[in-house]
Amino acid sequence: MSRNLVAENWRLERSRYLLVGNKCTECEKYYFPNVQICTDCNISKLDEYVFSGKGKLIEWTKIYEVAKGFELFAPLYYGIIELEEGVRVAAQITEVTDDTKLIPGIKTQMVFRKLFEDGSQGVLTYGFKAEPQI
Amino acid sequence: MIAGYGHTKFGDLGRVTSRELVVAATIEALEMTNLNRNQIDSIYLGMLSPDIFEHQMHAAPGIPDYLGLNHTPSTRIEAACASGGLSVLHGIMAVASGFHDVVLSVGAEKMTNLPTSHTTEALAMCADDIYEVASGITFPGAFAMMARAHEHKYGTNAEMRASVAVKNHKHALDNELAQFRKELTIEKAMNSLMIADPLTLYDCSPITDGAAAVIIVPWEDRADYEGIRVKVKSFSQASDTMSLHDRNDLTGFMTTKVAARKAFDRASLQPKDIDFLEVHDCFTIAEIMAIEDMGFFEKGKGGQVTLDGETARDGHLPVNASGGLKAKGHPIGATGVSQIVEVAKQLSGNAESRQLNDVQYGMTQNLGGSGSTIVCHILERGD
Repeated sequence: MSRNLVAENWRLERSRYLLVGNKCTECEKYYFPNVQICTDCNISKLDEYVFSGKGKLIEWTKIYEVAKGFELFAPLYYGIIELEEGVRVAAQITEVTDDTKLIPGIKTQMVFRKLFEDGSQGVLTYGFKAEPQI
Repeated sequence: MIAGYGHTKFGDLGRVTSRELVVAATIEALEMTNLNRNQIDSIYLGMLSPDIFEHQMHAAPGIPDYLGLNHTPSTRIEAACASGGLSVLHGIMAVASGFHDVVLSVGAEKMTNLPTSHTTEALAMCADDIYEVASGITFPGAFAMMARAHEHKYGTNAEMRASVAVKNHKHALDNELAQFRKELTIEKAMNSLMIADPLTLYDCSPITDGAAAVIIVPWEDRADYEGIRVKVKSFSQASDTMSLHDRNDLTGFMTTKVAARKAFDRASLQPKDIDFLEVHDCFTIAEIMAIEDMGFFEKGKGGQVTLDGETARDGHLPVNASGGLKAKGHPIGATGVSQIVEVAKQLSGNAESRQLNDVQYGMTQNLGGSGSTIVCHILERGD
């Protein structure tokens, strides 16, 4: 399917490139991606917040049959990460040398990497991946 | 109540369009009843993506058009893999409200037009596009993480997962409309191609063409209708976050728990009252989680009970006697309707060589995305 990645990456630049979300001014709950309403206290006063990228591994898999655009990374490691602020995100896991060390609970750090290619002539999309801190 | 049903062969059906499949299933459903097609008040079409698979948006009016029913209202319902179940639910609500008397709920998908990579991409669009798809998730990948979490917490291993596939393939031997009618062994399933660790090829449901249809009419007016009498006891729907990672528990679906509970409450029934299930086994682990989350087995025991044969056709709670998505096939929009058709067949004594004995209540669970939509129905054998 065609997608306008120039516009998409521009629109999502703050979250996709910089890990910007927000935080409720009342209950201090963190959100990523950013939200308009705090679901806990139903207010719409939230401040922008830049996540540190520090987190821990919740669960992972190794995807052999990758989606279109991700052939370069196949087979790829993919995981769910809980950031230290308590928010969960999904990301590819990068720099894996020994997957027996990918044990849920290990520390991870988000790093900036190429996410996928839109064909040989298309836009490159960048974003965050999780690097295990072993 | 369900007065009639129709169901095409599931599989790679080659030179056929989804419209033709819908018409074939609909005519079969009408022929079970004393209704002619002009008596259909409204149509609910469950279809994931006629736009991507067949380059056709606005597919709903094409159905009355091809049925020769111009001016009959027709609405397409899209809820990922739960599109079919939701089209039945809306058909039931339209009849239950008293607004319509005769409703056609029909689901279809023509998936084999495209190369597999395109189909996989289209299906992946049912996940959160911005944060899941763009980071490289696939549905096998999402369910693989759930399988790992279930294994870590409850010890549900590859053999237990494979036993779901083996059972459903065995069931499909008795379903002539099923896509795969060949026996499978635990060894073959476990040693097949790795798709997303730990899920192998035989943990995954296939790409399928097909359609299924039901005719829904008011139970109070049952004397006016010929055909089968299968009563709709209850229906329910629940939603959850688009993204899997936004949920705390990866070993099941809160949506399944909520929807099943609502369905039981509305029917004034409990799990022990249900005689058999058709659940959404898009992946083997999904069936294991479904039978736990619906309340039929203790959490964590779904794999072991499947391996022990408790959910086989001759077990105490038959699950997916039709062959399930795994072996019957998974034409996305048709799947939820096909589940209702199977339950209606069983409850009306029309399931032929796979007929279950002495069944009164059957229940369905139809899942969309990574459990972001769940639709449940409980049906009862009529008089």
